[in-house]
Amino acid sequence: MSETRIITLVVFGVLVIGMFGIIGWAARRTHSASDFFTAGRSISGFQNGLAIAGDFMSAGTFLGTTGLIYLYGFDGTLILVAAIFSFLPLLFLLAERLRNGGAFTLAEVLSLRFPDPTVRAVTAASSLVVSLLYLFAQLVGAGILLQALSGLSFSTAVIITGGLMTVYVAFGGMLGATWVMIIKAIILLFVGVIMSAAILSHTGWSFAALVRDASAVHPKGLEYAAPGLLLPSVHPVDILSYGLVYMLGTAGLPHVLIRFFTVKDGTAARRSLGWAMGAMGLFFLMVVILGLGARLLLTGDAATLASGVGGNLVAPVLAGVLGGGLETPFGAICIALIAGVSFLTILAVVSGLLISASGAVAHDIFAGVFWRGQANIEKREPTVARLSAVVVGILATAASIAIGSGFNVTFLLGLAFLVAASANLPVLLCALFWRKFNRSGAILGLSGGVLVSLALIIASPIVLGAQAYLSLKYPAIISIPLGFAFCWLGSILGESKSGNFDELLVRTELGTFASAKP
Amino acid sequence: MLEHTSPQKPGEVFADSSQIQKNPGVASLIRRSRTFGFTLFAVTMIIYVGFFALVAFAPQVLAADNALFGSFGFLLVFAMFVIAWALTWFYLRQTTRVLEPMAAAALREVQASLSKPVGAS
Repeated sequence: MSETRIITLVVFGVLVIGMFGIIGWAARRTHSASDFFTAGRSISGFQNGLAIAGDFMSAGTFLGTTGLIYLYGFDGTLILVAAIFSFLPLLFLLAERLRNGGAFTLAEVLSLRFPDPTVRAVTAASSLVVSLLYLFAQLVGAGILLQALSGLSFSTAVIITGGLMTVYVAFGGMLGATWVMIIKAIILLFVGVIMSAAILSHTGWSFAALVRDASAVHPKGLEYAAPGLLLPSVHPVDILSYGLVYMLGTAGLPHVLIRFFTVKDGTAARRSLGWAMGAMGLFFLMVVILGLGARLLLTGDAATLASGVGGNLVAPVLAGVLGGGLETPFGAICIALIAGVSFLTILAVVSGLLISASGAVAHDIFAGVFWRGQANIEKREPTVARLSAVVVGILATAASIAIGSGFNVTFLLGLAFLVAASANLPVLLCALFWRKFNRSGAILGLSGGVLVSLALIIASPIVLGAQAYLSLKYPAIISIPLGFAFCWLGSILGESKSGNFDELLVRTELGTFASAKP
Repeated sequence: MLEHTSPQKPGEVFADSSQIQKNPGVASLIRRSRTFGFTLFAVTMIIYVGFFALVAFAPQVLAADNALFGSFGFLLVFAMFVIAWALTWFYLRQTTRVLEPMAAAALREVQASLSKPVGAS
């Protein structure tokens, strides 16, 4: 295993240095705030589609979900269905309109309707909460994984990931982060095709045979091909709620939504989702094959190794076995290659998160609230954007080390998705579509949504275990309706002015033809 | 030509939004695109919640054997991917064929009405 670790570090080193080439190129093209936050609106629909898909072909999917399917079979695939469906509301209701709004951040979209520092600050805060929780979870996860894959200590692993992320973002901005994401998405698709073909060649190219043979070697037999091993059917409402939070939560994740700002117009934003759905769907189906294939092919030592770290090592171990065996040199190289690609994946995803978090700090809190109405903001903003990336990057790295590998990462991610689904999404939808929505509705909707999410998840078994007040592990089914209720309540209690609804309506709906202007 | 408009950002359109909205072409475009988006959103939610309801309340149905996919559950997972792709394709096709030409026509109309000299109605 120690040689594998050295090769892993070499592969990782080569990939990181290759990425520095891209970052250097991107840095020379990043001057204004628009360059930094939206890559100067220069990303094409196809490229943005791959970048969005890349966000979801994360270590969480490639390593985590492969592991879940390996361990629990059918139930592991549910998260993939949730992820692909989460992009439909984005496509039908949000992507094009957000791009047409012409903003850099989510909070700026809301401030088009309510030009008011309080709304801007509250929206920025809730975006920041979601991005930071997600970032902490990713960095802690990265630390645990790198520790297992490379033999580095947890803190060293987090410092390397956090440090590289900060440098990438501070220099390369959104352009650099997007290209790193695109390249790793292509590498992962390529790896996925090779590995799934290798697996299917073992079962005579039959998916049914793969499912049956994999079930036959699982201790639970045919139950492996049916629901119930991961999400116990004693609590059906919780399963429904699990589906809702992962679908609607994604539609409110700021680091996903800001990707629509990087394309030239609304049409490109819409088309980028078409490409994203294609690439993501393909990759997700390959993940199903990888998980089932691992169950079928990993035996003995390989199976013991794969079950470590919550099943997160299944994909690299499987690569080793497909490459001829863990003890063979080629097998070791395969493990190292997959581990190296996994590092790159983590790095690409955390970089996107850091852009989102520094956007909330630099563009919303500084440029939008503190320096409101001041002259020459545009001159100062690019510097502040880079500075925020450095400060947020360092703080997030330090916080992730402090949080430590023993912390419950499920809590962080669960809360991030819950806030995104129960605060960000309701307010965004109301702002775009509901004429009677007003300033108080926005403020109450956001703050209420965040507080309810926090309270519910603390009362749930995720935090309190068996003593929980609430039997739901995924309280979205309560918190999402409450989020909309807060928006409504604030709107009827507060002043009746609807903000610049007409202006936002015309801009978001008709922006498409601003680009078609002769 | 539109000297009276304030400095605009990319994506921003023309002069007075409440007036543009009253243009019949624009009004019907807005109505169509919203109705279309929300209808497809509703269809998506029904299919999605239906799938999860089946997983949650009738897991035994998904355990049934299937010749092509190993179990009925896996058949449904694949079907969900195909449905997601089909909905995406349908939305993109309709927006390109119907909504974009409508938007282009509405644009010409609005521009024609705005380029009249100030004061003429």
